[in-house]
Amino acid sequence: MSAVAVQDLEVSYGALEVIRGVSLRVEKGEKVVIMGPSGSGKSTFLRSLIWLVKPKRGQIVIDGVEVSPRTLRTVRKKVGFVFQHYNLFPHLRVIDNIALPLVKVHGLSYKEAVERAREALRLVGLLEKERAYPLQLSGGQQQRVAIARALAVQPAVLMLDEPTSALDPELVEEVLQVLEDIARRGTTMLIVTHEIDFAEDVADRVVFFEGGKIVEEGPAAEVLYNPKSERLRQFLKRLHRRAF
Amino acid sequence: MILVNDPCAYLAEVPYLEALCYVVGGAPTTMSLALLSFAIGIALGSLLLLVRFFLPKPFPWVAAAYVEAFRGTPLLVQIFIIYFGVGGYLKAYGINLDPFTAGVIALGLNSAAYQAEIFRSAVQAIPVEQYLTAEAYAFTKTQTFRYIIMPQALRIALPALMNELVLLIKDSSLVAVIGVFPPDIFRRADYFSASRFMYFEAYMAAATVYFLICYAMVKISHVIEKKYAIPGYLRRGII
Repeated sequence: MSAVAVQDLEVSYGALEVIRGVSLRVEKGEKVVIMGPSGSGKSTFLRSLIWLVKPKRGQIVIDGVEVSPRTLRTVRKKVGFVFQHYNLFPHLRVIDNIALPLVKVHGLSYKEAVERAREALRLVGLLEKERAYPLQLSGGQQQRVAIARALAVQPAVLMLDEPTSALDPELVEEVLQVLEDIARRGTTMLIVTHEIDFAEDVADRVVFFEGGKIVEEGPAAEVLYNPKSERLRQFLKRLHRRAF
Repeated sequence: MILVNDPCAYLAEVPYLEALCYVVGGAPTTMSLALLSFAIGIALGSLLLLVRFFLPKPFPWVAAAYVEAFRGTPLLVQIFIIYFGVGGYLKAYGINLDPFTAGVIALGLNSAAYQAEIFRSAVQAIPVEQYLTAEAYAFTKTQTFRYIIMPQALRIALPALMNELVLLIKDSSLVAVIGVFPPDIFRRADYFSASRFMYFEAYMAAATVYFLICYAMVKISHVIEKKYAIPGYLRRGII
């Protein structure tokens, strides 16, 4: 059973077709990186997997459960989602940001939830900030808390939507480091990112989106160093120039 | 007209002080009018918000119509409709609507409309990402509202709510027109001016008392805002 299995997915914003027939499987323990120019539909694709944007057509199965109105809550409970802009709850302390879904959605007692939240905070190296409020933290720290919140639900798959794009360059590294640690623990991950070195180090597979379709996919080394399509070659060239 | 049992007579040498001393006796009535109607406003106003947030159409339209009806007509007219209009009909059934109750009802219904708008704009000020995140983490709509939206919206609404209370304190003076008893600040100023023929002193005294109460409310509001401010929110340099 795959962690994620998507078949012929189509998503539209009104008349605008954003995802035009995408199929993708992510196996358990696999790390898949999605790349692509802005507007290629990568974020929409990730969001549509748990119906934050409702797809027009296609089938999505997450951890053996097909997404439907009836199963939506069940499916969402199996996913840890990390947003580009962290989206922590500003009125709650760090510890409660992580504990709230555990208590209200996953049915843990507050004591159990805090224990598990602390575990997750230890993983991202922020245990000493448990009593802080999100807006008292740097962007990188906030994103690490958001990652801890996602990990704490013990998800079947961790979905990350450009987790470092909103961060200052100096803060990117600490977040990538945390993500690499998590990847090494065998977590199934689906990551939208432009961090090419990270993709190379972590990804089992890289998927390249363009115009709402997958135009190329394969092992990281192959896709990143030996791209078949001209479009991807150009895209990587620009990324490399920015990176070095 | 003579002021009966005037405990302020010893101040008669300085009419303004005598007026102040007399008029301030209306503060309990004024504050009762304002606080009771504020409470009605909170209850009914949040009910209107919940209708708009949770119920399917046409209920939100009904809530919006309520708001427009009360916002689009003068408060004094509303007071007269309740006291003379509704009160007149109730009399036919043997129910006596006294001016104080009528005033509280009219002010409360009016305030509910404004408070519903305050709540609505506060809820709408919460970034859409907060809803999205709650959805992604499988919160139900009720949970999202209760644990994520409401705590943030209330903080946003706080200054406007306190402003509404200040407005109510001042607008409660309109209830003096239907002869509220015991007399409020404004009605006492009327009494005083009529018995002493000192209009300036009487109404300046009333203005002073209203001002002091409202100013105190504003100060209390700042303390509450500070206490419940979300730590880390940038405080801009606005006094």
